[in-house]
Amino acid sequence: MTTTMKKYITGVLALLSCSLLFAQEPTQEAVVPSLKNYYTYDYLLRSNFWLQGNNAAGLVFNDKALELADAYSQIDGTIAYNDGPFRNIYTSESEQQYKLNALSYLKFDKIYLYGNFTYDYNFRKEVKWNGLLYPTSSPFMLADSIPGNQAIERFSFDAGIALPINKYFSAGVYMDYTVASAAKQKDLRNKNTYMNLLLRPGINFRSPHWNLGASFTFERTTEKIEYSQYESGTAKSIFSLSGLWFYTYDTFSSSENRRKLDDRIGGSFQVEFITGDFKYYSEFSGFYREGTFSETGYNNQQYGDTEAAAFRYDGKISYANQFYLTGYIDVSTMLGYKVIQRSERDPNAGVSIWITYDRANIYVQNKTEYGLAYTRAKPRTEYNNSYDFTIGMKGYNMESAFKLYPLKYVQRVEYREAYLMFNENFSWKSGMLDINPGLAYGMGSGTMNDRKIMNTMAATEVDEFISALQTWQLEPELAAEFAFMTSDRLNMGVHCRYTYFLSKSKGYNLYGDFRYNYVRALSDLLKDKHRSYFSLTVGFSF
Amino acid sequence: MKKILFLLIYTLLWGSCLNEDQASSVFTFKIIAALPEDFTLDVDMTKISVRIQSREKPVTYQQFLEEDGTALFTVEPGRYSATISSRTPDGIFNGLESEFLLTTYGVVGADKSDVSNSLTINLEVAAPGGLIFREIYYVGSQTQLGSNYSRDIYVELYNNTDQDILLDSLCFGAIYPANGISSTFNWVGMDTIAIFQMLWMFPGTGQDYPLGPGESAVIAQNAIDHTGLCTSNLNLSKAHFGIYDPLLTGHEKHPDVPAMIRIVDGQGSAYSLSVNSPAVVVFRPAMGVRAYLNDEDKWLRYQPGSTSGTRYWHIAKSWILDGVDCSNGPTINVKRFPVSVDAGFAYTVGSYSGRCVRRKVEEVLPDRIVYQDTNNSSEDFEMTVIPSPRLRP
Repeated sequence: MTTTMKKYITGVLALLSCSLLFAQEPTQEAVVPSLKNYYTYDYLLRSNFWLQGNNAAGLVFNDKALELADAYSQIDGTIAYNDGPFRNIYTSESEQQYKLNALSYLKFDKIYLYGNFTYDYNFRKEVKWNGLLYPTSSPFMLADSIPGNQAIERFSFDAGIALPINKYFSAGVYMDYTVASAAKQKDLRNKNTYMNLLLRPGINFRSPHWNLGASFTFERTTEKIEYSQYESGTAKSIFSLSGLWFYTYDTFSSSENRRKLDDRIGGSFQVEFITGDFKYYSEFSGFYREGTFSETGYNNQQYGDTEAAAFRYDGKISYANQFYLTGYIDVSTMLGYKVIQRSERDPNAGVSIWITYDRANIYVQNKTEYGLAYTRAKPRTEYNNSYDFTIGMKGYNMESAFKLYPLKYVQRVEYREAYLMFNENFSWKSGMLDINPGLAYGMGSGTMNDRKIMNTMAATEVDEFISALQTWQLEPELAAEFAFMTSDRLNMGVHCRYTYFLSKSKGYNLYGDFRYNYVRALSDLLKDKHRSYFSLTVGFSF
Repeated sequence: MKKILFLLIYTLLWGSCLNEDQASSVFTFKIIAALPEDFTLDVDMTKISVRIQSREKPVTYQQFLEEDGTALFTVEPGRYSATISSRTPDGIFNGLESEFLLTTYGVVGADKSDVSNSLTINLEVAAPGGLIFREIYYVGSQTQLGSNYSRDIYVELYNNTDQDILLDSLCFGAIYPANGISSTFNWVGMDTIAIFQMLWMFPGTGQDYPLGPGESAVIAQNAIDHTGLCTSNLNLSKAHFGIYDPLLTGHEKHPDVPAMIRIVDGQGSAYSLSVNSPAVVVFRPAMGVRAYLNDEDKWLRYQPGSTSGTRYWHIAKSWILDGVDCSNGPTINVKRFPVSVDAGFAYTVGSYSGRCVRRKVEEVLPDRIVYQDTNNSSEDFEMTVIPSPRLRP
């Protein structure tokens, strides 16, 4: 994608977001103005399950949620901080976050709009092995082992539009554009430039009892990684990782660059059944992703290909705004390929370029994620609850394998978590207070590095092979990551939100939101290590 | 559009069923070792080993040939080198395919359409050498303050025979290109070998510097005491010879250490081996050093295809007493020596790490040590070891 196009997309989305944010309040008088003060983003999501799905055409079902007023908007700012030794290998020792967010759902005549703009700045202390912004998105990564501070800046524009075509059909499209840059501030320094563009057109059919929808997804993600070294007195090592911490390395010379490119396509279809107070929403999705990890120049050297597929089901049931049952299952496979290339001289151009002949699968990751939650709510009004509690569980099974014939190294991780959340809403004339404590207990298990022999070799040869390979696996890092993933843990938190009714006639609110979370490891290498998180948000909704 | 629809349907139906492709992970092919046509002796091929080394990962596969001179390998597709190197009672057999491409459908030749299930390697036969490199220390170390330090590098020659060897007028240098990671090596496969930069000769009138059986001669780039100056702490004032010419800058030498004689000026005002990947050589011109240097027309050449620019002195491979291709890691670089001189690579991991390569001991006799010399430095050397030069007392 060209820079001009990126600027164009950024501009269009910024304008759209701003127009939503500063949209004029509809002139018609609200039916029950004071009730709009009870609106929250959570209420919107609860009232229209389509908003959590992949089909923008589902924005038309906001007609119920927006019946009091044709718009719900909020703008807020957040500061957050987390630190503690219970962390994954990629996670910083501590992290400060500053975030601005503006979100709006509105209705213009028959057009339903959604816009969301987020800017966040993170400052992370003592980060290492973060060659990619999202290190687990690919088995292939260029990284370094020296901890250093890292600054990350991210802009995200997210917008959607839906339009009823006739009495039965509606069409819509979501668009998400995110750009980010990250810079580590100690040698070796990696500067990452990240872009994500998602387009998701969809249609739906509505009837009194059945709502059906289908949507298509296209997503492109690019990331440029540029390593440099300021201080030249000492030699630093740079690592090329290819799954389960198998690596090769080089002494860093002057620069080392990579480019990661992922394209994802997929589709979803949605089914919603409504009868009386009963509502059952299902979404089935399938995605296919192809990615390359290559040099940034024009010699076409590729350091790995990825291919991934995922199938996901999301189900949500509600009854009379009092009983909710939600569940999901996500089954995915990611394959990593070594690209078989040879440097050949182009007689016409007079330069050598890498010619691709084939590829061989060297990495496999199979993952199943699942979750189930039951919520019981006691509505005070149609728009907020006096209290609600949720009991749920979630977890995942993941098997990762790195292959180097005749050996196959396999890692298995199972993690399950049960949680309980309770929210009590206290309402006064001038405002309301939500207090929401939560508790979760997680259990992890697995095998870190099972070695399998895929074919028979003489025992001595296998021993030699294993011995040679052991040198090229970063076992301390593998163990640290595994310990984090499989550690049993206790997670406690509280979320308090005070909402001040600034204008009952117009439905304006000021709110302050405080969250605190504490997680403590209960087993394995990280036993008694902990990490805490807190955030403070101040916002205005209208 | 059809493609997108197909992919969408495929994804929805089979998205979660993306399976690892077991079959595409390996390929079985045959290595064929071919003896020289004029070699008439019967050779026990089962004593000769073949090694397949990945050029992308630090792994090797090794096995012995069958009686018919072939070996079957099942390996992961990729870029490989194949080395045949064995010392048998019939001689030293070396062969090398410095790079070949293995795919899931065969071995791809230089011509893309040349795809087969086998790879033929021509063997070269050589007799064991006498004067050998025992240690090569080229990566340098660091100062006590952590800066890079390359003044302490050296090579150590060793008499691996039971006879005296006269060092007088033997020549020492590094061959072109200076680094094995160069991708513009134009002299591959030629009958002579180009020298990089300067060329040095041992002093003496013909009988002055005999090297006895089991004795060493250390040539230091700066024959001074480096103790306290750097992390290697080598006292090279006890070296046997020093790279020194008063016309060059940056070289020092203890007065007791004889200087090597610069016989080819080369370029630059100082001499240094590559701290990354030099290829060192010791040789004796068949016609004598003076006659060699007087025959510029024959031995001083431009790069292939050029009629201007830098000219490089060349030597015949038959003059070489020993040569070692050094690298900066197990990943294979450009092969500069012919396989009859060195079929492999010796490597030291980490620039300025203070480590070196040292030849392996083959046999300890009562009066001397015999070091392994199969003309394959991948086999003959211990990699990345702490230097221990055998200096003068």
